Amino acid sequence: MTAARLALSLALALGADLACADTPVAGPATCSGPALPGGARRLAQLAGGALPGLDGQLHRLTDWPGKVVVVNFWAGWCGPCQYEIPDLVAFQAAHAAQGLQVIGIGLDTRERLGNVARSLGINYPVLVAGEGPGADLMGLWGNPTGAIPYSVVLDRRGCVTQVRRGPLDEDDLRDDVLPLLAPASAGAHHPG
Amino acid sequence: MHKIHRLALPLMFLSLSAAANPQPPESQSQILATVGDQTVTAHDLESAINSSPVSTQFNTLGVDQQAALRGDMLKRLVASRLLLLEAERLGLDRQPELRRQMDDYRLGQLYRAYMDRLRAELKVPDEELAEMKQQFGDDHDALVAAKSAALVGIYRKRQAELIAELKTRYAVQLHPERIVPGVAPDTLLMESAAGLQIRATDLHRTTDQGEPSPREMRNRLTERVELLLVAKAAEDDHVDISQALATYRAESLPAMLLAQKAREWVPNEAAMRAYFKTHPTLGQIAERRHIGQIVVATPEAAEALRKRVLAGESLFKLAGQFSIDPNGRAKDGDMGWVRAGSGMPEIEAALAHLPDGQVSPVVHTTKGYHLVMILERKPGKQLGFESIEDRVRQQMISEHLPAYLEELRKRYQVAWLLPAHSSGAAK
Repeated sequence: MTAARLALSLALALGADLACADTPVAGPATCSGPALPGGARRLAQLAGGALPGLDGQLHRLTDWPGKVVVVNFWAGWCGPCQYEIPDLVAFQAAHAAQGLQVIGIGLDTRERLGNVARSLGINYPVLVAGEGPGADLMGLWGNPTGAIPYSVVLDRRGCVTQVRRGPLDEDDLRDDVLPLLAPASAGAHHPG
Repeated sequence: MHKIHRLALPLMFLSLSAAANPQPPESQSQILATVGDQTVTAHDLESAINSSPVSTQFNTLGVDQQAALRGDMLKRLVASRLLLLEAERLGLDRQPELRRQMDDYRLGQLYRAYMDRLRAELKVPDEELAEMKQQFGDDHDALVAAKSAALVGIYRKRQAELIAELKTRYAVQLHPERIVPGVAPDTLLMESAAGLQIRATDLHRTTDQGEPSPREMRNRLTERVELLLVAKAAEDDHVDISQALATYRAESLPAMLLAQKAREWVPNEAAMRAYFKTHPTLGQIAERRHIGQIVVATPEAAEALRKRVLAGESLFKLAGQFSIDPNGRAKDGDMGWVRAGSGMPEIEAALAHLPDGQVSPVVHTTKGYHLVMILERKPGKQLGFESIEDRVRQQMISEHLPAYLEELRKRYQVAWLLPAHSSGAAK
């Protein structure tokens, strides 16, 4: 078992306590999904600073309140990342109207990320984190190993609901993300 | 056949006289080139790029680089069509070896298609899945592994049931007891009311060294029975593999023709040794040097830094601070191991007589004003024929291939039908 998995298992085992140990920040009082190795469970604890997007604008990961967010860490040199991107593109196109927001975090140069985004027709924001700072950010998001692709799913309240090491596939998106988009899962309030 | 494919791919990089750098096509059915009665469509081109080993890197390239690679790939596809037409003219498609390979491929494809369909229908029962979710909670990796293990068990059971069912459906009679040492090649080992048959000779492989043991033959019989039964069931279900077969044929024939021509151009080892004798540089490995470098914008800045290095400061520390080459600055001027002769001519000239550990005079290039230093060297050497036999062979083939393709281009007319918007990048 890797250190990250051990940490994740411990975090899961201690779930209830960690929920109480959350730093008080704006957002839901409690999140019941998995805690990341650092103990964080919600977007407000994880967002970090602003990052430049491929669109030339600065973005924060809190810029999409009330959406079901799939944060996907990837790089141009990563083959498996490129295999999952067409599924993410199709999923975003199919469910944007229901409140889905895929966000790519690129651990690569702006030029290479932009070329891949153009080649694969990426239809969601890609924020340029670069290799080193991107790995640091991914560590904050629960993946200190640096292995990509890596994705974290958050519900409309900004609570972490799924963590995925390795590529997301159609089954993952259907089973783990689609239910969050249902009207019943709309959530009573948005993260602050 | 795989060996032939490996040979064919690098060879097809060779150029034809017409060049093209097409942009991404607007329609997949768009015809980009015609070769005799053959076409190369946008779909063919994109498929070739997506299935190439460089497909991931391709996506990271800029528009112009992608266009250049598309052009190279299109030329390869046109070359492939030329070879296909010529192979057909020469009747290579009637050779028993190709027919046997095509039949093996057909059976394999039918088997795969049928079993893939069966596998897609399998699922872990809801109750069992719920138990797994309970057991593994949010540990997705463990849940996936447990689901996979359960599906493998379900698949094996269903596979065994299917084979038993097909044996009954096609009234199969097996005769494994006829497998004895020295069994005659035409000995019938399986027959069925559906016309399926397996003879001892069907179980022999070209890679066999001597006669396989009876035990091995029985294992092969079991596998072959399964293959034939499932392929027959797939055929009865009208599983369509015609496209895959056409693709296999279109890839195999050019490779067969190239292998035939290669035997003509490189007839034996003596010919290769004679070629190597007249082309000894093929075996030369150039000296490699571990290089440090600073690049700055003005000769004055370069001279000032040179004085600081001569006075004892580290070239690498200074490169990390002052080099205008972002890559070099990020690496503190450490350019790694560089093959002699592969750098810019001005730098190569400066390095030619530079003692190790000494900073060079200022070198002016189009990139700026450089200071370079050789940290250490790995000497070059001359390899013997045995070490580079493959390289000699490839070189001999690549000397003949362009002229051969040109000959084929005259026999089968090639027309480039590139999209109007790519004309600026073409040729």
